[in-house]
Amino acid sequence: MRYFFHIRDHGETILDEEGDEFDHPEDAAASAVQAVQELASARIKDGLVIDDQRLDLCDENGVLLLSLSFQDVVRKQLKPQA
Amino acid sequence: MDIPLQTAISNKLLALLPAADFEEVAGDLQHVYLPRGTPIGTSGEPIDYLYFLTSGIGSVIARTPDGHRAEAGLFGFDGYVPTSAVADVELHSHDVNIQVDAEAYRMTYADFRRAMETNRNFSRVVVRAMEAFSIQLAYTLVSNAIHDVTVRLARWLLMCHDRVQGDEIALTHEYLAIMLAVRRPSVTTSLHLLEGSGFITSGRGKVTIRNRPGLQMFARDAYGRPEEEYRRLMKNLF
Repeated sequence: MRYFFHIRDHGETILDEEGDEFDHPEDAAASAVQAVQELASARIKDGLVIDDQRLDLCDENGVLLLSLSFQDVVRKQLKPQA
Repeated sequence: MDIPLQTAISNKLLALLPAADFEEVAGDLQHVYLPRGTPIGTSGEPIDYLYFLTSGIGSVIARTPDGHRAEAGLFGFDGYVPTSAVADVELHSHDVNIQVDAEAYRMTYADFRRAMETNRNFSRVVVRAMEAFSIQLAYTLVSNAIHDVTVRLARWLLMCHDRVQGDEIALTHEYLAIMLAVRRPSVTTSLHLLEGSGFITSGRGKVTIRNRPGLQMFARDAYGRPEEEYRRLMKNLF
């Protein structure tokens, strides 16, 4: 099944017109998290803020399966210091 | 088999050869069509043919034991593959695939080795081309280490543009992701940024260069040196 990884930045959508094949939706979801990690890291490295960026994972019928906030993904990596 | 006419050949290396040296190898050359996706070498497999592209683009892809892939080099009418044949190595070191529909002249590995041993000028040209290719590789390495993905994308697009006729390049995001060793969404985002700056338009399966000077300015530190070195290496050979 083909899955599409759209990026939304402050409401502006960058459409993935090509998509990628995955056997299971869980694999597509895992790939989406890894993509956000890569994109968020690149922003940090370039000194850009991470504010309102999201990755929307859709199936080939256009159904939204998962909407990942870059901030949430980064937040999960942060460990509060005691 | 038709003997090709040297003046009609678009491969730079074959075209550069002095006429007499070209005549010696011309009979070994077979014209072939290589559509996108054609594998022309598999790592570890014996080299059947050497390919001198006259159009289109191929890529040399390094593959790790875990199956990760990244582009090790790009070639078109400027070179030949596999360069390891120059070292008299009978096996492909890397995977080689055609990425943009190509035409080529090919010769068997045996004919190539014979030409290397008996035709000094032929040998000279291919060894120079191998050096030029390794310079390209060195700059790819540097670029991968220090430039961000959008700049690296600009670099690869310029390199592809150098090797095609016109401004349209048939490239999938999947291929770009492999070239750049990033995930596809990073390619989508970077293409969007370059498009926003007016350098390219990106459609389904193709990228069109709209503003070459602008794209070159943007790529600035990442593009140009291997191309200068190629011109220097391939000048005044004979």
